[in-house]
Amino acid sequence: MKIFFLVTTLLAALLADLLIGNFGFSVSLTTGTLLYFCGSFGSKHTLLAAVAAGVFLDMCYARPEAFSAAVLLTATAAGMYFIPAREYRNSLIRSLPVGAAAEGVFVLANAAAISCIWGKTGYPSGIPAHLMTAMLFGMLCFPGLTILLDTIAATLNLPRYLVSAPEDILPQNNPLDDVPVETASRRRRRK
Amino acid sequence: MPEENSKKKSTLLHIAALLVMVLLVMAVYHAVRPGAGRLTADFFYPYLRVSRMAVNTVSDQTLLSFSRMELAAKLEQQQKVNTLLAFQAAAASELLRENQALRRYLGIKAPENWNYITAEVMLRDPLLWLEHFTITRGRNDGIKQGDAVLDISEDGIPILVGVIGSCGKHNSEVMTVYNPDFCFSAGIGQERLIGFVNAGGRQGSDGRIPVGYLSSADTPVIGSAVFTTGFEQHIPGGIKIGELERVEEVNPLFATAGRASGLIRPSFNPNRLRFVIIARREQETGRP
Repeated sequence: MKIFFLVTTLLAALLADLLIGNFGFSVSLTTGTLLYFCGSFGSKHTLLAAVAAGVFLDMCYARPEAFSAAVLLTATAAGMYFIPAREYRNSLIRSLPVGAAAEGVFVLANAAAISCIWGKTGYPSGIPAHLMTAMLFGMLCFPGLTILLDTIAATLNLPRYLVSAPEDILPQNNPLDDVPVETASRRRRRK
Repeated sequence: MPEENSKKKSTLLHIAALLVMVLLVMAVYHAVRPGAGRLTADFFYPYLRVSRMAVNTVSDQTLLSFSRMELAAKLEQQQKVNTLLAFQAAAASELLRENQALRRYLGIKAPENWNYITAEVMLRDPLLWLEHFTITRGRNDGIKQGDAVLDISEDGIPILVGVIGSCGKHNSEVMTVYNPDFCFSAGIGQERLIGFVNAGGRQGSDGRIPVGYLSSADTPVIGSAVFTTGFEQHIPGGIKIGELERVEEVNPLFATAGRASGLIRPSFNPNRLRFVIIARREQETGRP
Protein backbone atom coordinates (compact mmCIF):
# COMPACT_ATOMS: atom_id res chain seq x y z
CA MET A 1 0.00 0.00 0.00
CA LYS A 2 2.89 2.30 0.87
CA ILE A 3 4.52 1.78 -2.56
CA PHE A 4 1.17 2.24 -4.33
CA PHE A 5 0.58 5.51 -2.45
CA LEU A 6 4.12 6.71 -3.21
CA VAL A 7 3.99 5.89 -6.93
CA THR A 8 0.45 7.25 -7.47
CA THR A 9 1.13 10.47 -5.62
CA LEU A 10 4.45 10.98 -7.34
CA LEU A 11 2.90 10.45 -10.79
CA ALA A 12 0.14 12.94 -9.92
CA ALA A 13 2.75 15.48 -8.76
CA LEU A 14 4.78 14.96 -11.93
CA LEU A 15 1.64 15.46 -14.01
CA ALA A 16 0.95 18.69 -12.14
CA ASP A 17 4.55 19.79 -12.83
CA LEU A 18 4.09 19.08 -16.55
CA LEU A 19 0.80 20.98 -16.49
CA ILE A 20 2.34 24.03 -14.79
CA GLY A 21 5.35 23.73 -17.09
CA ASN A 22 3.08 23.99 -20.13
CA PHE A 23 2.20 27.51 -18.94
CA GLY A 24 5.91 28.36 -18.76
CA PHE A 25 6.34 28.22 -14.98
CA SER A 26 9.13 26.09 -13.59
CA VAL A 27 8.05 25.13 -10.08
CA SER A 28 8.14 21.68 -8.57
CA LEU A 29 5.29 20.00 -6.75
CA THR A 30 7.33 16.81 -6.97
CA THR A 31 9.88 18.20 -4.50
CA GLY A 32 7.10 18.90 -1.99
CA THR A 33 5.71 15.40 -2.44
CA LEU A 34 9.16 13.86 -2.00
CA LEU A 35 9.69 15.86 1.19
CA TYR A 36 6.34 14.66 2.51
CA PHE A 37 7.43 11.07 1.92
CA CYS A 38 10.76 11.82 3.53
CA GLY A 39 8.96 13.03 6.66
CA SER A 40 6.48 10.17 6.70
CA PHE A 41 8.36 7.10 5.43
CA GLY A 42 12.07 7.95 5.77
CA SER A 43 14.77 9.32 3.53
CA LYS A 44 16.28 6.29 1.74
CA HIS A 45 13.31 5.41 -0.46
CA THR A 46 12.58 9.10 -1.02
CA LEU A 47 16.02 9.85 -2.42
CA LEU A 48 15.74 6.91 -4.81
CA ALA A 49 12.28 8.15 -5.81
CA ALA A 50 13.80 11.61 -6.45
CA VAL A 51 16.30 10.14 -8.92
CA ALA A 52 13.56 8.13 -10.67
CA ALA A 53 11.25 11.17 -10.85
CA GLY A 54 14.07 13.30 -12.27
CA VAL A 55 14.83 10.81 -15.04
CA PHE A 56 11.12 10.50 -15.83
CA LEU A 57 10.78 14.28 -16.11
CA ASP A 58 13.81 14.54 -18.42
CA MET A 59 12.48 11.74 -20.60
CA CYS A 60 9.03 13.32 -20.85
CA TYR A 61 10.52 16.66 -21.87
CA ALA A 62 13.03 14.86 -24.17
CA ARG A 63 15.80 16.99 -22.73
CA PRO A 64 19.23 16.61 -24.29
CA GLU A 65 20.85 15.94 -20.88
CA ALA A 66 19.50 14.38 -17.66
CA PHE A 67 19.99 16.98 -14.98
CA SER A 68 16.62 16.83 -13.21
CA ALA A 69 17.63 13.79 -11.15
CA ALA A 70 20.52 15.72 -9.61
CA VAL A 71 18.36 18.85 -9.22
CA LEU A 72 15.50 17.01 -7.48
CA LEU A 73 17.96 15.17 -5.27
CA THR A 74 19.64 18.44 -4.23
CA ALA A 75 16.32 20.19 -3.60
CA THR A 76 14.96 17.27 -1.57
CA ALA A 77 18.16 17.04 0.45
CA ALA A 78 17.97 20.80 1.17
CA GLY A 79 14.33 20.50 2.25
CA MET A 80 15.14 17.47 4.42
CA TYR A 81 17.57 19.60 6.39
CA PHE A 82 14.67 21.84 7.45
CA ILE A 83 12.20 19.06 8.31
CA PRO A 84 11.71 19.25 12.09
CA ALA A 85 12.03 16.17 14.32
CA ARG A 86 8.89 14.06 14.53
CA GLU A 87 7.86 15.28 17.98
CA TYR A 88 7.90 18.91 16.78
CA ARG A 89 5.85 18.27 13.66
CA ASN A 90 2.55 19.38 15.17
CA SER A 91 2.10 22.72 13.42
CA LEU A 92 1.92 23.65 9.75
CA ILE A 93 3.95 26.81 10.41
CA ARG A 94 7.02 24.63 10.97
CA SER A 95 6.65 23.25 7.44
CA LEU A 96 6.83 26.71 5.81
CA PRO A 97 10.67 26.87 5.64
CA VAL A 98 10.80 23.28 4.34
CA GLY A 99 8.84 24.10 1.19
CA ALA A 100 10.55 27.48 0.71
CA ALA A 101 14.06 26.00 1.03
CA ALA A 102 13.30 23.11 -1.32
CA GLU A 103 11.79 25.38 -4.02
CA GLY A 104 14.60 27.90 -3.65
CA VAL A 105 17.29 25.24 -4.05
CA PHE A 106 15.29 23.75 -6.95
CA VAL A 107 15.47 27.06 -8.87
CA LEU A 108 19.15 27.62 -8.05
CA ALA A 109 20.14 24.04 -8.93
CA ASN A 110 18.22 24.25 -12.22
CA ALA A 111 19.89 27.56 -13.08
CA ALA A 112 23.31 26.12 -12.21
CA ALA A 113 22.72 22.95 -14.26
CA ILE A 114 21.48 24.85 -17.32
CA SER A 115 24.30 27.34 -17.00
CA CYS A 116 26.87 24.50 -16.88
CA ILE A 117 25.37 22.58 -19.78
CA TRP A 118 24.11 25.31 -22.15
CA GLY A 119 25.73 28.47 -20.82
CA LYS A 120 22.49 30.31 -20.03
CA THR A 121 20.16 30.70 -17.06
CA GLY A 122 16.92 29.11 -18.26
CA TYR A 123 14.89 31.82 -16.49
CA PRO A 124 14.22 34.69 -18.93
CA SER A 125 12.63 36.84 -16.20
CA GLY A 126 15.81 36.65 -14.12
CA ILE A 127 16.85 34.32 -11.31
CA PRO A 128 16.09 36.63 -8.29
CA ALA A 129 12.49 37.23 -9.38
CA HIS A 130 11.92 33.57 -10.07
CA LEU A 131 13.62 32.55 -6.85
CA MET A 132 11.27 34.74 -4.80
CA THR A 133 8.19 33.47 -6.64
CA ALA A 134 9.27 29.84 -6.28
CA MET A 135 10.04 30.23 -2.55
CA LEU A 136 6.65 31.82 -1.98
CA PHE A 137 5.03 29.02 -3.96
CA GLY A 138 6.88 26.41 -1.91
CA MET A 139 5.95 28.11 1.34
CA LEU A 140 2.25 28.01 0.46
CA CYS A 141 2.26 24.75 -1.43
CA PHE A 142 4.03 22.42 1.00
CA PRO A 143 1.60 22.92 3.93
CA GLY A 144 -1.33 22.46 1.53
CA LEU A 145 0.24 19.32 0.13
CA THR A 146 0.84 18.06 3.66
CA ILE A 147 -2.82 18.48 4.59
CA LEU A 148 -3.98 16.75 1.41
CA LEU A 149 -1.56 13.83 1.62
CA ASP A 150 -2.09 13.44 5.39
CA THR A 151 -5.82 13.08 4.78
CA ILE A 152 -5.21 10.38 2.16
CA ALA A 153 -2.60 8.66 4.36
CA ALA A 154 -5.00 8.61 7.31
CA THR A 155 -7.67 7.03 5.12
CA LEU A 156 -5.20 4.39 3.93
CA ASN A 157 -3.94 3.84 7.48
CA LEU A 158 -0.38 4.91 6.59
CA PRO A 159 2.06 7.00 8.64
CA ARG A 160 1.38 10.71 8.46
CA TYR A 161 3.72 13.72 8.28
CA LEU A 162 1.97 15.84 10.90
CA VAL A 163 1.45 14.56 14.42
CA SER A 164 -1.79 15.88 15.79
CA ALA A 165 -2.10 13.74 18.94
CA PRO A 166 0.45 12.79 21.66
CA GLU A 167 0.11 9.10 20.87
CA ASP A 168 1.50 9.88 17.42
CA ILE A 169 4.60 11.39 19.02
CA LEU A 170 5.48 8.79 21.65
CA PRO A 171 4.95 5.08 21.22
CA GLN A 172 2.66 4.13 24.09
CA ASN A 173 1.92 0.72 25.52
CA ASN A 174 -1.49 -0.39 24.53
CA PRO A 175 -3.18 -2.06 27.57
CA LEU A 176 -5.12 -4.26 25.19
CA ASP A 177 -1.84 -5.80 23.93
CA ASP A 178 -1.59 -7.91 27.11
CA VAL A 179 -5.10 -9.32 26.77
CA PRO A 180 -4.96 -12.73 25.08
CA VAL A 181 -6.83 -12.82 21.83
CA GLU A 182 -9.92 -14.98 21.89
CA THR A 183 -9.69 -17.18 18.84
CA ALA A 184 -12.25 -19.71 17.66
CA SER A 185 -9.95 -22.69 18.43
CA ARG A 186 -9.34 -21.48 22.00
CA ARG A 187 -13.07 -21.05 22.52
CA ARG A 188 -13.66 -24.62 21.31
CA ARG A 189 -10.92 -25.98 23.59
CA ARG A 190 -12.40 -24.17 26.62
CA LYS A 191 -15.80 -25.63 25.89
CA MET B 1 31.21 5.74 20.11
CA PRO B 2 31.86 2.87 17.65
CA GLU B 3 28.12 2.86 16.95
CA GLU B 4 28.22 6.56 16.11
CA ASN B 5 31.19 6.00 13.81
CA SER B 6 29.47 3.20 11.96
CA LYS B 7 26.35 5.35 11.59
CA LYS B 8 28.44 8.17 10.11
CA LYS B 9 30.16 5.72 7.78
CA SER B 10 26.82 4.33 6.68
CA THR B 11 25.47 7.84 5.94
CA LEU B 12 28.60 8.73 3.97
CA LEU B 13 28.32 5.48 2.03
CA HIS B 14 24.71 6.25 1.20
CA ILE B 15 25.59 9.73 -0.03
CA ALA B 16 28.46 8.39 -2.14
CA ALA B 17 26.23 5.66 -3.57
CA LEU B 18 23.59 8.25 -4.48
CA LEU B 19 26.14 10.50 -6.18
CA VAL B 20 27.52 7.58 -8.19
CA MET B 21 23.97 6.62 -9.12
CA VAL B 22 23.17 10.16 -10.34
CA LEU B 23 26.37 10.21 -12.42
CA LEU B 24 25.54 6.80 -13.88
CA VAL B 25 21.99 7.92 -14.67
CA MET B 26 23.34 11.01 -16.46
CA ALA B 27 25.79 8.93 -18.49
CA VAL B 28 23.25 6.23 -19.40
CA TYR B 29 20.64 8.86 -20.26
CA HIS B 30 23.06 10.57 -22.62
CA ALA B 31 23.62 7.29 -24.43
CA VAL B 32 20.02 6.08 -24.68
CA ARG B 33 18.28 9.45 -24.88
CA PRO B 34 17.43 9.65 -28.63
CA GLY B 35 15.28 6.51 -28.42
CA ALA B 36 14.30 6.51 -24.77
CA GLY B 37 12.86 10.01 -24.68
CA ARG B 38 10.44 9.37 -27.50
CA LEU B 39 9.67 5.85 -26.29
CA THR B 40 8.62 7.28 -22.93
CA ALA B 41 6.52 9.89 -24.64
CA ASP B 42 4.85 7.17 -26.74
CA PHE B 43 4.20 4.95 -23.74
CA PHE B 44 2.93 7.79 -21.57
CA TYR B 45 1.11 9.49 -24.45
CA PRO B 46 -2.34 9.59 -22.75
CA TYR B 47 -0.72 10.76 -19.49
CA LEU B 48 1.13 13.59 -21.23
CA ARG B 49 -1.94 14.46 -23.30
CA VAL B 50 -3.92 15.15 -20.12
CA SER B 51 -1.64 18.04 -19.19
CA ARG B 52 -2.20 19.63 -22.61
CA MET B 53 -5.95 19.14 -22.42
CA ALA B 54 -6.00 21.15 -19.20
CA VAL B 55 -4.04 23.98 -20.83
CA ASN B 56 -6.36 23.98 -23.85
CA THR B 57 -9.42 24.12 -21.59
CA VAL B 58 -8.01 27.21 -19.87
CA SER B 59 -7.21 28.74 -23.26
CA ASP B 60 -10.72 28.04 -24.60
CA GLN B 61 -12.34 29.45 -21.48
CA THR B 62 -10.28 32.64 -21.91
CA LEU B 63 -11.66 32.96 -25.43
CA LEU B 64 -15.19 32.52 -24.12
CA SER B 65 -14.65 35.33 -21.63
CA PHE B 66 -15.00 37.82 -24.51
CA SER B 67 -18.42 39.39 -24.94
CA ARG B 68 -20.62 38.38 -27.89
CA MET B 69 -20.00 41.74 -29.57
CA GLU B 70 -16.24 41.33 -29.27
CA LEU B 71 -16.40 37.78 -30.63
CA ALA B 72 -18.60 38.93 -33.53
CA ALA B 73 -16.13 41.74 -34.33
CA LYS B 74 -13.22 39.28 -34.27
CA LEU B 75 -15.10 36.86 -36.51
CA GLU B 76 -15.85 39.61 -38.97
CA GLN B 77 -12.20 40.67 -39.00
CA GLN B 78 -11.14 37.06 -39.55
CA GLN B 79 -13.57 36.70 -42.44
CA LYS B 80 -12.01 39.77 -44.08
CA VAL B 81 -8.52 38.29 -43.65
CA ASN B 82 -9.73 34.97 -45.08
CA THR B 83 -11.20 36.71 -48.13
CA LEU B 84 -7.92 38.54 -48.75
CA LEU B 85 -5.95 35.34 -48.34
CA ALA B 86 -8.28 33.52 -50.77
CA PHE B 87 -7.61 36.21 -53.40
CA GLN B 88 -3.87 36.00 -52.78
CA ALA B 89 -3.99 32.20 -53.06
CA ALA B 90 -5.90 32.48 -56.36
CA ALA B 91 -3.29 34.93 -57.72
CA ALA B 92 -0.47 32.66 -56.53
CA SER B 93 -2.01 29.59 -58.18
CA GLU B 94 -2.35 31.57 -61.43
CA LEU B 95 1.34 32.49 -61.20
CA LEU B 96 2.20 28.86 -60.48
CA ARG B 97 0.30 27.74 -63.55
CA GLU B 98 2.10 30.34 -65.65
CA ASN B 99 5.44 29.32 -64.14
CA GLN B 100 4.79 25.67 -64.93
CA ALA B 101 3.87 26.53 -68.53
CA LEU B 102 7.03 28.61 -68.99
CA ARG B 103 9.17 25.85 -67.48
CA ARG B 104 7.59 23.39 -69.87
CA TYR B 105 8.41 25.63 -72.88
CA LEU B 106 11.99 26.09 -71.70
CA GLY B 107 12.43 22.46 -70.74
CA ILE B 108 13.20 23.22 -67.08
CA LYS B 109 12.25 20.64 -64.45
CA ALA B 110 9.29 21.73 -62.31
CA PRO B 111 10.08 22.31 -58.62
CA GLU B 112 8.81 19.74 -56.15
CA ASN B 113 5.61 20.48 -54.33
CA TRP B 114 5.16 20.32 -50.57
CA ASN B 115 2.46 18.74 -48.47
CA TYR B 116 1.44 20.20 -45.16
CA ILE B 117 0.24 18.45 -42.01
CA THR B 118 -1.07 20.32 -38.97
CA ALA B 119 -0.04 19.31 -35.45
CA GLU B 120 -0.84 20.50 -31.97
CA VAL B 121 1.80 21.44 -29.43
CA MET B 122 1.60 18.84 -26.66
CA LEU B 123 4.35 19.62 -24.18
CA ARG B 124 6.52 22.65 -23.49
CA ASP B 125 9.65 22.57 -21.39
CA PRO B 126 9.58 25.53 -18.97
CA LEU B 127 13.37 25.58 -18.65
CA LEU B 128 14.16 25.24 -22.36
CA TRP B 129 11.05 27.18 -23.41
CA LEU B 130 12.54 28.62 -26.60
CA GLU B 131 14.69 25.69 -27.70
CA HIS B 132 12.31 22.75 -28.10
CA PHE B 133 8.79 21.37 -27.64
CA THR B 134 6.79 18.23 -28.35
CA ILE B 135 3.98 17.93 -30.92
CA THR B 136 1.17 15.42 -31.33
CA ARG B 137 2.29 13.91 -34.65
CA GLY B 138 4.81 11.17 -35.18
CA ARG B 139 5.99 8.41 -37.48
CA ASN B 140 2.43 7.07 -37.77
CA ASP B 141 1.45 10.33 -39.49
CA GLY B 142 4.37 10.15 -41.90
CA ILE B 143 6.59 12.62 -40.04
CA LYS B 144 10.34 12.16 -40.41
CA GLN B 145 13.34 13.58 -38.63
CA GLY B 146 14.43 16.85 -40.24
CA ASP B 147 11.01 17.89 -41.60
CA ALA B 148 10.42 21.64 -41.46
CA VAL B 149 7.98 22.98 -38.86
CA LEU B 150 6.17 26.17 -39.79
CA ASP B 151 3.71 28.61 -38.25
CA ILE B 152 1.66 31.47 -39.64
CA SER B 153 2.40 34.97 -38.39
CA GLU B 154 -0.39 37.34 -37.35
CA ASP B 155 -0.35 38.91 -40.83
CA GLY B 156 -0.74 35.52 -42.53
CA ILE B 157 2.88 34.98 -43.64
CA PRO B 158 4.38 31.49 -43.18
CA ILE B 159 7.32 31.54 -40.78
CA LEU B 160 9.91 28.94 -39.87
CA VAL B 161 9.61 27.51 -36.35
CA GLY B 162 12.22 24.77 -36.57
CA VAL B 163 12.70 21.18 -37.66
CA ILE B 164 11.72 17.78 -36.27
CA GLY B 165 14.58 16.77 -33.97
CA SER B 166 13.45 13.25 -33.09
CA CYS B 167 10.40 11.21 -33.95
CA GLY B 168 8.26 8.80 -31.98
CA LYS B 169 5.21 6.84 -33.10
CA HIS B 170 2.64 9.35 -31.86
CA ASN B 171 4.69 12.46 -31.16
CA SER B 172 7.85 14.29 -32.19
CA GLU B 173 10.28 16.71 -30.66
CA VAL B 174 10.74 20.01 -32.49
CA MET B 175 14.08 21.84 -32.41
CA THR B 176 13.27 25.53 -32.85
CA VAL B 177 15.34 28.18 -34.59
CA TYR B 178 16.49 29.28 -31.11
CA ASN B 179 18.21 25.92 -30.59
CA PRO B 180 21.98 26.40 -31.07
CA ASP B 181 22.25 22.85 -32.49
CA PHE B 182 20.00 23.74 -35.44
CA CYS B 183 22.25 25.35 -38.08
CA PHE B 184 20.87 26.17 -41.53
CA SER B 185 21.38 28.59 -44.40
CA ALA B 186 19.45 31.86 -44.73
CA GLY B 187 19.01 34.47 -47.47
CA ILE B 188 18.97 38.09 -46.32
CA GLY B 189 16.97 40.84 -48.02
CA GLN B 190 15.89 41.07 -51.65
CA GLU B 191 19.43 40.26 -52.77
CA ARG B 192 19.30 37.03 -50.75
CA LEU B 193 22.80 37.42 -49.32
CA ILE B 194 23.70 34.07 -47.86
CA GLY B 195 24.48 33.52 -44.19
CA PHE B 196 24.25 30.65 -41.74
CA VAL B 197 21.90 30.80 -38.77
CA ASN B 198 23.26 29.62 -35.40
CA ALA B 199 26.77 29.59 -36.80
CA GLY B 200 29.74 31.95 -36.74
CA GLY B 201 31.37 33.77 -33.89
CA ARG B 202 28.32 35.17 -32.12
CA GLN B 203 26.08 33.84 -29.37
CA GLY B 204 22.33 34.44 -29.41
CA SER B 205 20.88 36.47 -26.56
CA ASP B 206 17.66 38.05 -25.39
CA GLY B 207 15.43 36.30 -27.93
CA ARG B 208 17.80 36.93 -30.85
CA ILE B 209 19.54 34.26 -32.91
CA PRO B 210 23.01 34.62 -34.43
CA VAL B 211 23.72 34.55 -38.14
CA GLY B 212 27.29 34.06 -39.26
CA TYR B 213 29.55 33.75 -42.30
CA LEU B 214 28.00 36.77 -44.02
CA SER B 215 30.13 38.26 -46.74
CA SER B 216 31.48 41.58 -45.48
CA ALA B 217 31.79 42.79 -49.10
CA ASP B 218 27.97 43.03 -49.46
CA THR B 219 26.72 44.60 -46.26
CA PRO B 220 23.07 43.67 -45.74
CA VAL B 221 20.56 46.37 -44.82
CA ILE B 222 19.51 46.35 -41.18
CA GLY B 223 15.83 45.46 -40.87
CA SER B 224 15.83 43.28 -44.01
CA ALA B 225 13.68 40.18 -43.93
CA VAL B 226 15.55 36.87 -43.63
CA PHE B 227 14.24 33.86 -45.56
CA THR B 228 15.09 30.19 -45.91
CA THR B 229 17.15 29.43 -49.02
CA GLY B 230 15.76 26.03 -49.95
CA PHE B 231 19.30 24.58 -49.94
CA GLU B 232 18.33 22.15 -47.17
CA GLN B 233 16.52 19.09 -48.43
CA HIS B 234 13.64 19.25 -45.94
CA ILE B 235 13.14 23.01 -45.58
CA PRO B 236 11.15 24.82 -48.30
CA GLY B 237 12.72 28.00 -49.65
CA GLY B 238 11.31 31.50 -49.21
CA ILE B 239 9.91 30.94 -45.72
CA LYS B 240 10.43 33.92 -43.46
CA ILE B 241 12.75 33.41 -40.49
CA GLY B 242 12.79 36.93 -39.09
CA GLU B 243 14.43 40.30 -39.54
CA LEU B 244 18.08 41.23 -39.44
CA GLU B 245 18.61 43.40 -36.41
CA ARG B 246 22.32 43.90 -36.20
CA VAL B 247 25.45 43.23 -38.24
CA GLU B 248 28.83 43.28 -36.66
CA GLU B 249 32.12 42.26 -38.09
CA VAL B 250 33.94 39.64 -36.07
CA ASN B 251 37.38 40.69 -34.92
CA PRO B 252 39.73 39.50 -37.68
CA LEU B 253 42.35 38.63 -35.08
CA PHE B 254 40.11 35.92 -33.70
CA ALA B 255 38.06 34.89 -36.72
CA THR B 256 38.21 34.48 -40.46
CA ALA B 257 38.68 37.93 -41.99
CA GLY B 258 36.14 39.09 -44.53
CA ARG B 259 33.24 37.40 -42.78
CA ALA B 260 30.69 39.25 -40.71
CA SER B 261 28.12 38.06 -38.27
CA GLY B 262 24.84 39.47 -37.00
CA LEU B 263 21.69 38.92 -35.02
CA ILE B 264 18.22 38.02 -36.28
CA ARG B 265 14.97 38.76 -34.47
CA PRO B 266 12.88 35.65 -35.28
CA SER B 267 9.29 36.13 -36.43
CA PHE B 268 8.24 32.99 -34.56
CA ASN B 269 6.63 33.90 -31.25
CA PRO B 270 7.08 30.99 -28.81
CA ASN B 271 4.44 32.34 -26.42
CA ARG B 272 1.48 32.09 -28.80
CA LEU B 273 2.24 28.65 -30.11
CA ARG B 274 -0.60 26.13 -30.13
CA PHE B 275 -0.71 24.63 -33.63
CA VAL B 276 2.13 24.19 -36.10
CA ILE B 277 2.37 23.02 -39.71
CA ILE B 278 4.82 20.37 -40.84
CA ALA B 279 6.08 20.64 -44.42
CA ARG B 280 6.94 17.46 -46.31
CA ARG B 281 8.13 17.05 -49.87
CA GLU B 282 5.44 15.51 -52.08
CA GLN B 283 7.88 12.87 -53.33
CA GLU B 284 8.39 11.58 -49.77
CA THR B 285 4.70 11.28 -49.02
CA GLY B 286 4.26 9.00 -52.06
CA ARG B 287 1.55 11.17 -53.61
CA PRO B 288 1.71 12.18 -57.32
